Amino acid sequence: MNKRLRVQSILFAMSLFLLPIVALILFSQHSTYETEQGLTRFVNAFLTSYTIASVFFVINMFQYSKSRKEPTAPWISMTYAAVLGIFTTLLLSSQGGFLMEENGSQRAQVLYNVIHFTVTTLAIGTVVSILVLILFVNLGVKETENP
Amino acid sequence: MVYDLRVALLLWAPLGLMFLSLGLQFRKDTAVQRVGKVLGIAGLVLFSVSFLTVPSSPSAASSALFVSILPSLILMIFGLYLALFSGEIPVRRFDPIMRPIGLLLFVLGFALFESMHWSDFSMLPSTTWDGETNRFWMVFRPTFLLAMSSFLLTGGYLVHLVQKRTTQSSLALYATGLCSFMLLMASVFFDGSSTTAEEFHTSVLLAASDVLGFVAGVGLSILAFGLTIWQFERKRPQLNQLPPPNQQQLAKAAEIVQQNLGGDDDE
Repeated sequence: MNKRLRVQSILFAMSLFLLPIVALILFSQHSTYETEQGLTRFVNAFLTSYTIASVFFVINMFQYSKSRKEPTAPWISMTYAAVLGIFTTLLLSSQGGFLMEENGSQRAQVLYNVIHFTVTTLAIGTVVSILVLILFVNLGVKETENP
Repeated sequence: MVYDLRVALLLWAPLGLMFLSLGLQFRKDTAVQRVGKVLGIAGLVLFSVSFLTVPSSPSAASSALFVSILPSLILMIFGLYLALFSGEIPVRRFDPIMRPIGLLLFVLGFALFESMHWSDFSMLPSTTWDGETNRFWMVFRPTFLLAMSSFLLTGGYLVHLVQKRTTQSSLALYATGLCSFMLLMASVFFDGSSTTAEEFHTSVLLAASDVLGFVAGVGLSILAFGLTIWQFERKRPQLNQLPPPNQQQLAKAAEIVQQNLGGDDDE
């Protein structure tokens, strides 16, 4: 596949990914959706998933450092993750009070974010499992037809 | 204070155990993996009953939702698993007759999941909590349908690009993704049994923010850690500059291959 075709393919794949969201936005004239509420949700989802994924990767970096005999790997990755995390948090939350949804306190908001992340992860995890299983269920059939 | 401690022990600690269990599955030691599985099952059971043990906690609604959607999720995943491992593959585990049954189970699971939104039949798992629509149901269903539409349509296209033995897979992914998208749009235009079309539309737009935030957050994290790994890996010698494997390494490789191959000994 040449480079131009590859870029076109990636752009088309991204458009397909965004197509349902764009369609929903086009039909949203009568919805009570507020952009600020959506942005708050985006930032909360972003920061929660970034934090939890980073903790998960840091733990795995210790395993990596042991198997590759690179003792500094976890500490360097932690530094990158922390710097990037602090930078994006400052960038996204610089408007003050931006991250609070319908919860009474900061603690309630943090706990709600974790539960919300768990529910979203369950939904996305199920979809990814379905995607992989559908892919392989049909690969098996095709393989037998053309050995 | 006492109640907070109860919530911490009966809801949050079990949830933490589930995440810990997931992390322990990546350890090489099988004994540690086994301990992780036990902790994960204990956490799952305790979290599942937390809507009974600490019902007044706002987070208990997520536990009630989990129990409600569990039958449909099990039917969908187990159905596809059955269909996959009863097909004509070298590592077949089930009789070929189970393949259509597996696909039927997947369709039934999906139908059960959708009927929870469209019908208020009392035999169906409940989507309400504390007399209202469960707030986490309004997170899970929009996210599930939206992610299914986006991921499966994109997956269908990417699989189509590979072009080797994947035409049928690509079509199946497109069809399921499209079906999910139609259900999403139907929910935006028509009221469900306990939610109006307008409420659902707002929820699905918030779910879009969620999905994009989730993908961006996990993506940035992968980027940060990928950068570190790339930094270390590029310093290592090229594969063609490595010495050939010794007998011990070859024996280890043969053992791993043997562990991961199915079928009879004479194959």
